[in-house]
Amino acid sequence: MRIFSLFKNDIKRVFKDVGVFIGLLLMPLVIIIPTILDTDFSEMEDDTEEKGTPIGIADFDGSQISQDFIKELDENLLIEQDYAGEILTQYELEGDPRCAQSGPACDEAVGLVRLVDGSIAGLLVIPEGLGAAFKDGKQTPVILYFDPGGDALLATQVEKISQGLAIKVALTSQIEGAKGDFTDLNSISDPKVRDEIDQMINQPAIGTGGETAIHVDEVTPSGYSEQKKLGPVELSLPQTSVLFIFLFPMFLVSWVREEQANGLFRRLLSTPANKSNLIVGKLFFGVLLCTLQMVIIYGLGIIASTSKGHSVALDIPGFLVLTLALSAASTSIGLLIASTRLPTGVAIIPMLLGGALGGCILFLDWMPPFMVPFSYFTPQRYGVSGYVELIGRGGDVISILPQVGVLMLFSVIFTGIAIWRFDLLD
Amino acid sequence: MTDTILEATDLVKKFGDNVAVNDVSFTMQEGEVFGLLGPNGAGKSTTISMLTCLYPPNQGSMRIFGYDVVKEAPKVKAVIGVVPQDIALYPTLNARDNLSFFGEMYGLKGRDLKERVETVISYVAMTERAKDAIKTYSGGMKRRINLAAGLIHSPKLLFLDEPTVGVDPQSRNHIFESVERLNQEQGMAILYTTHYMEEAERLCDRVAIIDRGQIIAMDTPKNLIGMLGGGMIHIGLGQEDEALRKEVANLSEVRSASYAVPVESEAGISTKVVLKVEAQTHANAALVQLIQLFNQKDTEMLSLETLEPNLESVFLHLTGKSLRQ
Repeated sequence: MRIFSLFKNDIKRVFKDVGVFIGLLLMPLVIIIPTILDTDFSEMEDDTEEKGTPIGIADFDGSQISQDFIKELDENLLIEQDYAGEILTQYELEGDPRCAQSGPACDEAVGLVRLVDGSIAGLLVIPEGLGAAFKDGKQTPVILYFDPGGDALLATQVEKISQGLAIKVALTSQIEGAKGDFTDLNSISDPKVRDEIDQMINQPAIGTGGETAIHVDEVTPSGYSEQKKLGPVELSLPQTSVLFIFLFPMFLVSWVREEQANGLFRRLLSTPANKSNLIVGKLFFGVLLCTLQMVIIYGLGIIASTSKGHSVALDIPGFLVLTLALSAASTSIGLLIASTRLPTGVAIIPMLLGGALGGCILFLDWMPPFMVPFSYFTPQRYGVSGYVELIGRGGDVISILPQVGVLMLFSVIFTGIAIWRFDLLD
Repeated sequence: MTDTILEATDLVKKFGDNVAVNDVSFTMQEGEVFGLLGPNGAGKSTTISMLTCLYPPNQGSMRIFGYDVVKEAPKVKAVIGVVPQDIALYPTLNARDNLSFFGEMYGLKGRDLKERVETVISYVAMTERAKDAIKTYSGGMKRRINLAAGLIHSPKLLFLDEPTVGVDPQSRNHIFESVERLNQEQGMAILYTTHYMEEAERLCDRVAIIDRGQIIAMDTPKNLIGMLGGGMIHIGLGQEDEALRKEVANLSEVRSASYAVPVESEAGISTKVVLKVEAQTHANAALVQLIQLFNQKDTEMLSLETLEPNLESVFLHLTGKSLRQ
């Protein structure tokens, strides 16, 4: 009850303070308007056709099935295969027996080294016998190597493409009359996807006409999302909006410190309210403001994008859940800063640093490998990857739960520290 | 016989090496207006902060209406009202919004809350400006709403921490009248801190004079002033002269005379000792005799100060410095 009163009072103060109200309303526009105005949508679409994720392929099978598989991969990813020449020298593999001649063994050897040094995101090894196994209706493993300590975002991308392609090949195989199973063995094959594959394969034989291809699209498992061309909203908003929302704590710090300076906390602490009530009340207030600003940013971004003919799909429940978690993390950092004597001008530095490390300035995919481990300690990273997942990959509330979980953990930790160390009477 | 509603025993509060409150003990009775009189930094606000559950003491115990202030803080908070020294109000909100918010903090809601808001606004005579934002008020008006916020939940004991600082005479008078009405009409007990001796003299049943964290005197204003007899005369001298002191003490208009080392330069002249002379009935009569004596003995007065019998003089007499230092 008291927390709600504190929250309600802060909201009332915002509405009564014209300067603050207009400022809070205008701040999201500052973020979104340049994105809308300065972007040539047609150019952006062309840019998105570039395939940025490199993946190595070692094809020990060489059958038509494996060739089809690689062809599908090539439409979505930057395929590396048939290593030879300088690259062998670069990795000191020119004397390696596996690289005596160009082929899958050498591709595997080079691919693994390049995976370790971060030059490629993954290495897919297609074993010998894949094609034959397909024809015989037997399960055949394909192996996807990826660095679990590396960029989880890239790994997820590769996983999903692999899953989707695997399913496509399986379905194609089924349409052609094959009765085999197809299962990829990599660590990312979840039971749900596997069940859906099984379900599809156990359907009555298809092949009675041209309707089979259409049927394939309709039964695409939920775990697979096709890669789409990304527009400016999908490309830039996750970064800029997360960077922005982590600058919001500066406003909250000023807001809280003003109350502190006016002796309001002193007075409130002499009422039956306690320190936790006051801080949690501020947390709710901050979360609401952040969420509203993100709604404005994404709402305007999507409207502008749609009006220019580039539709943006966004899972609303997922967006709200992620935004609430992100807002809680951002607000809790604000409370933590407010609990220190750090001047606002100085406090903005770690926010910007967190934004840079968390992928708000440089795409996580393009970040130098040495920076990547640091990004895991920034809440910004999980915000950016969550929005990319939602808006760029068609993810939903389930698919962003890991990010939401980490952000909530950040919030709990930061709020706990703020409650512990905040001297409201100081 | 009245009940003891507040009991502070051997309170000590330290901030690092600084001892803000040092062994303070006092009690308050039901319906009493009790004053803590002392200069800035004497420890008045720290004492109030401990009693209003803001700081725990390093030593000592406090009970209010039988509740332990540290262990039963929520119960204590529910029965006390606090009017802090700062204007602790939201400047962009109007008086009603501010008072409603503080009322909600005390658990008031609905019709009860609205009625209490209107009652306290009326009590401090701010009904006409109740819709205006606090930031548009004069300092005195803000002080009145600050007082109203402390009354919103009808407390039994009100803490007023220097409520008249920076207030115009009209609002100051209004606050005095409000305090008197609260005490006389509602029987509300009030703990009032101030460094204005005239406020303490006018409002308080009893006064504790506090300096450097310690209570140095505590009694009714009348009895405290009575300590000075007919008034005090401080005479600055170059050196102690015991024979002179005895002669002064034997004057018919002098009750007592003693030497003290001056805390400060009196009248801008450096003196080594001060002869403190307590007048028998009136300082002027004693002064005439003193001047005659000093002329006879051809002794130079380096400084001369006459203290009228009031709490300011009591403080100066006890501490060697003025309340406003």
